[in-house]
Amino acid sequence: MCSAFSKTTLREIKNSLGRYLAILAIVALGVGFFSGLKVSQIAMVKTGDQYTGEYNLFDYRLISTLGFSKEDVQKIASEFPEAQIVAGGLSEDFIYIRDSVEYVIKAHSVTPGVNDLKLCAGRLPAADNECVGDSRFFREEQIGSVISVEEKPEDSQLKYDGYTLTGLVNSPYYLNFERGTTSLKNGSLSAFVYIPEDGWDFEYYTEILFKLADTGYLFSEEYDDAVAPYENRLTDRAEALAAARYDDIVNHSLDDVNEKYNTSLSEYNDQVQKAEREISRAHEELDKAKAELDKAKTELDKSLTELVGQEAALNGKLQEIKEGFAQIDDAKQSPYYLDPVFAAQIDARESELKAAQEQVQKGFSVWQAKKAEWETGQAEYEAGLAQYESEKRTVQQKAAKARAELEEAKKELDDAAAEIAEAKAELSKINKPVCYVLGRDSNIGYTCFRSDSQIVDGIANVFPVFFFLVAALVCMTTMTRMVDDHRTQIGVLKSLGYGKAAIIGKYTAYSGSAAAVGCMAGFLVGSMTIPRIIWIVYGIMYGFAPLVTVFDPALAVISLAVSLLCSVGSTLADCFKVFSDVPAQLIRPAAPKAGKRIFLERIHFIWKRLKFLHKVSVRNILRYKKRFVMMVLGIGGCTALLLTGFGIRDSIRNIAVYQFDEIEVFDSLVSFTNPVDVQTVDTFFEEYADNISDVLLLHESSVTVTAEKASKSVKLRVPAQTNLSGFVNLHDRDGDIGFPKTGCAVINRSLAELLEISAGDTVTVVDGSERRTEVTVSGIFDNYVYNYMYLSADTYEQGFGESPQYKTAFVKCSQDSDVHQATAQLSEDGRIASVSVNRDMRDRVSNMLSSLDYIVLMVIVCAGALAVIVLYNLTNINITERIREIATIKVLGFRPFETASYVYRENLILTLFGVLLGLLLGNGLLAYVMSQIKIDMVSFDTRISLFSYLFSIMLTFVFTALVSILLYFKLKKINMAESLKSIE
Amino acid sequence: MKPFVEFKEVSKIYRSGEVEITALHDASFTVNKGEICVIVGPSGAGKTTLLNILGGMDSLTAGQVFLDGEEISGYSEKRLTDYRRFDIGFVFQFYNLVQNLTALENVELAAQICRDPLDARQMLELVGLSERTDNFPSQLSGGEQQRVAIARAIAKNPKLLLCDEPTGALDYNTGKAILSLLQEMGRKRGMTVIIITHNQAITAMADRVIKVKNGTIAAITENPSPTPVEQIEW
Repeated sequence: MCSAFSKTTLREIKNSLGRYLAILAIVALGVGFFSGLKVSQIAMVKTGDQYTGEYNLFDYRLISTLGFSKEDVQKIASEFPEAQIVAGGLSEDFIYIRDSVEYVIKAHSVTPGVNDLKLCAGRLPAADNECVGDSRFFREEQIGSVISVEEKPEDSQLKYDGYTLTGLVNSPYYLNFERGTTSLKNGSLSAFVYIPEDGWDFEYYTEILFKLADTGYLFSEEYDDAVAPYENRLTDRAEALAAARYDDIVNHSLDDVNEKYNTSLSEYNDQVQKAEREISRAHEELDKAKAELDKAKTELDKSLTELVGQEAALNGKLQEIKEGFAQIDDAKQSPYYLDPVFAAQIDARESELKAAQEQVQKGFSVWQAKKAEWETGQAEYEAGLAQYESEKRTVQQKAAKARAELEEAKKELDDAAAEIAEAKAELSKINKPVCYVLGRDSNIGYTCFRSDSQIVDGIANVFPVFFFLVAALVCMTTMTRMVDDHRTQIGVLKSLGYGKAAIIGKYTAYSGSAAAVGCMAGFLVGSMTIPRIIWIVYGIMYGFAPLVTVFDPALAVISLAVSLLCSVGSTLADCFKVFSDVPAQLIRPAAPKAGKRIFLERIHFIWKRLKFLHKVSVRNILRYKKRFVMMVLGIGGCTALLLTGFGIRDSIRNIAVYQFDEIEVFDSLVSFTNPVDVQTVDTFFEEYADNISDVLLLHESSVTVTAEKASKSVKLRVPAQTNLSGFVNLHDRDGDIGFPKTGCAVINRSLAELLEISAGDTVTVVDGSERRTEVTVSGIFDNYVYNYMYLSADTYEQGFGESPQYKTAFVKCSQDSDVHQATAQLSEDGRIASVSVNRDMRDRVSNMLSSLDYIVLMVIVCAGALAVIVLYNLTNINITERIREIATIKVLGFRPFETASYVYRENLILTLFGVLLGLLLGNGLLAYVMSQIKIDMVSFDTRISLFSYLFSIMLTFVFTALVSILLYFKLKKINMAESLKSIE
Repeated sequence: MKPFVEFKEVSKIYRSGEVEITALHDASFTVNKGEICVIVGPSGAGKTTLLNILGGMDSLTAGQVFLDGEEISGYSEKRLTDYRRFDIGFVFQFYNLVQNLTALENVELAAQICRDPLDARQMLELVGLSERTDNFPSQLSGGEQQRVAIARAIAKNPKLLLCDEPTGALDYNTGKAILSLLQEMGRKRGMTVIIITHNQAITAMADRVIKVKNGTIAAITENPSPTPVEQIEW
């Protein structure tokens, strides 16, 4: 292209720098908003990803009510070799006083490799009595001071009473400002500290932190897929370990008492045996002695008999001898004695007798000796017998004593047995372990961050498109205006022989370069600033790391393509429109757009009533249709944006309030360790009658509800009684829907929408043990947090073949009691596993959503920018086009205010139209945005308050007024001499 | 008789940066009530400056301007607007009709801001356009458009009718017809009419001719017997 021609292009830019910059700026603004907002969520998630990656946010947390041993940790580690790290962690809440204010602080053990700490100031702890603290809570000047543990309980696992603060840290475990809840004091945690493991005095870990390597991008499906398979495996393992630990604890304690009993028992048995042995030996000896004595007696008796026999024999013999001697004496006296023979015989006889006598006498002396012997024997026997008797007595005494001793031992043994029974009873009181395997979703910071980034994305999906659209429209009108202005010049160029391409080239180069430069600038600035602004806004909640700047090349290409399409495209269209005229026509000024009657004039009764100047305005509005459309779109967009912004706030902010003040009106939810029945729970809560006014027992479990088109995991609630009033209000927009009858169920609205069912439809309910039953949905109630299905106990029993197990209760606190106090009291009860307070939930959700105010503010600013840009540009073009007319009416003597209203009345009417359109559009836009913002388990009720309507309308008019004021000065500056000039 | 319009040593100097351009220097003249005055001079002589000042569209650097005994040169911007609104009727070279208004509405546009306006329809009748009241400017010829413009100026019932090259964009016959209309208006309604033109020939129709040259008044000629427009040839 010849240089003179490119010179005119450059000179054109130079001369109309304002217009060039206007195109550039509007494109920059549009692209900036578009790319900036689009990239915000990407940048947020990326920042989160880098942060959680760098500081190793856990993937799973294993918690057991009984804790885990070091061996358990090792077992898990060895069973899951693919885990990057498996670490045992400790935590304990303690009270800390600063500036005479009590705070509850959670102490964690430092777990290198998982949930690592980001140092913000100072240094990490080195000694076991040092700690690092929450950078949101502790101040830098506190570094070096001692964080003392107040009211430290006996069973505290903290080794020291105070820890020196060595630095301030951020923890990936606490992504946002939420610190969670505690059973101490007012129930909410203020801060955290991390203490090295050596600073703890512990036997068992509170939790096991489990981290996998390379799990994928934050919040991605890839992550979910990578992590999901471990949940069940870990749950199984954790439960097994906990069960083992339970057995261990129980058996260990039982062994102790059993052993004690057994020792006593064996001691007792020994004693008994020994005593018996001794006694029997004594008896044996006695018996032996007795036997000997008896034998001696027998012998003695025998020998006595013999002696008696011998004595008798001897006496007999002696008698015989005596008789012999008497015979002999007789014989000697007898005559016959004289007979020698006879005498000899007698003499012989006599000597014989004498010998016999001698012998008998000898026999006697033997007998005598024998008798003496016997007598000794007898005496001995008697002595033995006496001894035996005495010994027998001794033994009997000893046996009695032993028996007494045994009796005593037996008593002791009974005591031991009683002890065992007691110990067993005690052990049965130790709760069966409850295990939790919690993924990242259980982490408040993590889920909040996820939902907040989704909100940003939802907004980014809609709002920037508006800006782009408006940028395109503004770009188009500006270029149309320029080409129209240049028709004479185009005519001249054409008549000079320049081809269409060259002429088009000039204008496309003009608009294209403006758009390209604007796009680049907008993209760079938008990508860098808008995410930052959002991050700063969210910094109140997050701010754990500086935002990562993300440039999305795809976004850049799209932005550039669209900007070029808008600018160059509209330029081409305009050029071709001009080309359709021949040069001769072109070099003459374009005829001013002819006036026309409008349709409204035909409706006389309206037209008649209009004031003259109003008629002018109405006709003007309809005269410039393009401007009309753009203006109404721009203003409508502004109102729609405002309405959407406020609507988002209305719809989201109050969810928690609706949920906990209108629907779940009970005060706290109590989970029991073991199933209870109605009577038990009644007596149980009578203990707490001071604080608790009412209790409703229910069964709560997770079930899958399947309809024809979809299935969904739902919380099933089976209350023990059918009157829920005072606890839960099951209502829809028309009022109470009542408790479901047997065979029926009620579900919440968003669940019904997800399942695409309505009242009267039948759904299948599958419980955790794969038992299934069909129920008819008899009602649909409003609910915002979680999805619920309510069944009656009868329905449950019929459906699943067993009566529901009641492990949960809704608790209503008495009016004058403090909910937290009551809760703290309950949570200390061993029979209760957990207590959650509705008010805390509400506050937490409300807090989480309060950041929306900033988003709304941003939307208002955006909407304002949009309105101002569109109005300014269009009014400006309008004024420029009609400068002659305005100068003329000034010459005619219109006062400045009249002149302004002559021009602005149109704007006002167009604004009205725009606002009306915007209200319609806003409702649709809000519905769309709300459908884009999907947060798990939370459903929104899209509602717009009257206040929001009013405010949106008012603000739109404020913006219109602002532009009017800006342009008023321009109107004032219009020189009346313009009216004298010839038409160019 | 006191002059109706009086310029006393009026000067106008435009300053743009360092450069000073004297558009009008010590211009003094008077016009009597009911006169038709033609101000004539070549391009750049200062005619338009004169008109701007008289029309209350521009301020002056030195001197005084009186209309009907009132000194307008000292008016504030607000009073100048009122002055334009109530005292001046303006006829432009390019008619300056509002394209989006019908002939009648264009007249009404001016009339409805006045204190004591004349009837718009009558005015159009007066300029001979009673048949075209509902036509838009684009549907009218140049002459007709200028008639509407004149009707619009007169409808305000002004003290002074200022015409800036009223025939400049018109062909010979139409131009004559317009001038004739202006003359007739002046004569019939006793209105003071000041016509600015570069066309010397027109001077013949005037009661008073003021010649402007290089920002000064070159000559003031009174014409006791003006020629009817129909007899003027150029």
